[in-house]
Order: sequence, then C-alpha cells, then structure tokens
Amino acid sequence: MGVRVLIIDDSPVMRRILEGALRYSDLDLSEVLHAANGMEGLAALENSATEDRPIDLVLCDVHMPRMNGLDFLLEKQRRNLAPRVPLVLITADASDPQVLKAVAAGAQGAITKPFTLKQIQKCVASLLLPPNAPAPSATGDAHE
Amino acid sequence: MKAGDCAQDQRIWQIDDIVADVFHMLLQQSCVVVGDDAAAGIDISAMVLLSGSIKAQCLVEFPQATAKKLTDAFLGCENNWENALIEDAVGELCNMIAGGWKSKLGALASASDLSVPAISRSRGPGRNTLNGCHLKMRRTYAFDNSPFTVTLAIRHPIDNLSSCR
Repeated sequence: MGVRVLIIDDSPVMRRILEGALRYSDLDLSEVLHAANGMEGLAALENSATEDRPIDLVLCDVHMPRMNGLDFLLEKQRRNLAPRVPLVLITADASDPQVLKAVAAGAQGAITKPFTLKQIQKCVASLLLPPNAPAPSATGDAHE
Repeated sequence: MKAGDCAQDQRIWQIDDIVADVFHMLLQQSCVVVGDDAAAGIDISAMVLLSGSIKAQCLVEFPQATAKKLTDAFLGCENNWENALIEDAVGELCNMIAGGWKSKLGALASASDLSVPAISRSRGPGRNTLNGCHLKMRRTYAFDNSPFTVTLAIRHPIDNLSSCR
C-alpha cells in the first residue's frame, strides 16, 4: 500500500506545489490529503484513524488562520493523534520563534521556502521509515 | 531613497539575490532586473509587514498578465485560474521574498515577525501603500518577459542599520 501524506497550508498554491513535489518523487504515493488550517488537519487525522487508513507524513505551514502549525502540533499531541507520524513544518521565516518551539515540541524538522523539489523529496524520504522502526528524529534544512 | 544612496546597501538591499533564489529554486526559471521604475499597469499587490525590532514592509506589484503567468509557473501548467488562486500566488511570492529579506537583515530583524500577505486589487485609496518609510528601494524584475515590481522599505529603526550583516 502506498504512502498517504497530509498537507496543511492555507495557501492552495503552496499545497499544490508541495503535492507536485511529492508526485514527482520516487515515493510510492497513494493519496495526498489537503487541509487549509490546523483544525482541518486535526479532522483529517481523526478521520484517518476512524477509517483505519493511517496517514504516514504531515507537511504543515506555520502561519495559518483558525489554528496555526504550532497549535496544531500541540493539540495533536494532546489528543494523541498519530503520535508516530512525522511532521515537517514549511515556513518562509526560518528564525520564526514558532518554528523553534514546534521543533522543540516534537516536529521532526522545518523546510524554508523557497525550496527545491529535491529538498522536499529528500526530507520526505528520510522520514518515511518502515512501520516498526524507531520514531524519526529532527531533520530538514533549518534545523539539521 | 534608492539603493545607491545608502552606505549599507550591499548588506541591506540584497533583494536581487532573494528574488532570483525564489525563481531559481522553486521554478527553475531566471528572473532579471529590468529597472528601478515600477512595472506598468499594476493590477494586484501583496504586502508583508515586519514588526518588532524592526518595522519594515515588502510590497510586490503585478500586472494581471504577469500574475497569471506566475500562477502558471507555480502550478506547472497554463489555465484560466480563478482570481483567488492568482492572488494567492502573488501573496506566496511576497511571503517568500519577505522571509528571505528578513534572514538577510540578520540580527536587526531577529526579533521581528512577518505578517500574512495583505492582497489588494484596488488602484485607489485601498491599494497597498508604503507609508512613513525612511528608506525605500524599488526594483522591477521580469521572468519570461513578464514584469513585476518589488519594493522594500524600512520605517524603524534607521539608526541601527549598521548592524545589518
């Protein structure tokens, strides 16, 4: 079964760019889910748990209306949603304190815009581990 | 004030590199400087504010045809995109340029936050404008023969500019 990725970003253009990067990679991709903010992202994770169709990776913007990336991460942890699923932040501001807080709280890394397709593909490949492998550690261009 | 008027312009106004990086990294396209005058026929603008240790503004202004072409490039195909998607593309470009500029400003902007892009289609009083800025630099660029304008402006504090890297 292929990989399912959840992209959370209030920009539909950025969601499509990220999906394009995933689809042009060697990844065995079965589905890309889109959410426009953290609230929608939480709902997508809950649905995936209910349907027993797990999400394998979350790419998440930092600044979004209704619920931002950091609050999404903290709420996801509070609800114990997809605890082993890696989360990578996408940001235009590598020095944003919210990015640093999110990485400290358990995000696996951050990728700074603009990025190359290879950066996205390399980061994703490094985080998609076999089902019983240890939880991934931090990665990404901003916090290696 | 233009770039050459400021002794620190090499460090502060690295706008050309920032814009070129966005187009090269994300779109594998070149984007070249075509002048210091604003592009003709501005239809869409996006502005991101830096607030905190520095107060500054990043404004991008696009003719409709260039904004449409930017959206085509971002999304990998030509289409009759909805205006909302075209405006989102302009906002994302502004966001990335502002983020790159903030990183170039170094310690001066380290305690500053970026706003979300404010989009405007108005040519009248509602249009995004740069008010009360002491230092300003404007450049017009072109990618695929399509012009757009970027303006960077600093309102405060101009006394600390020597701390820029």
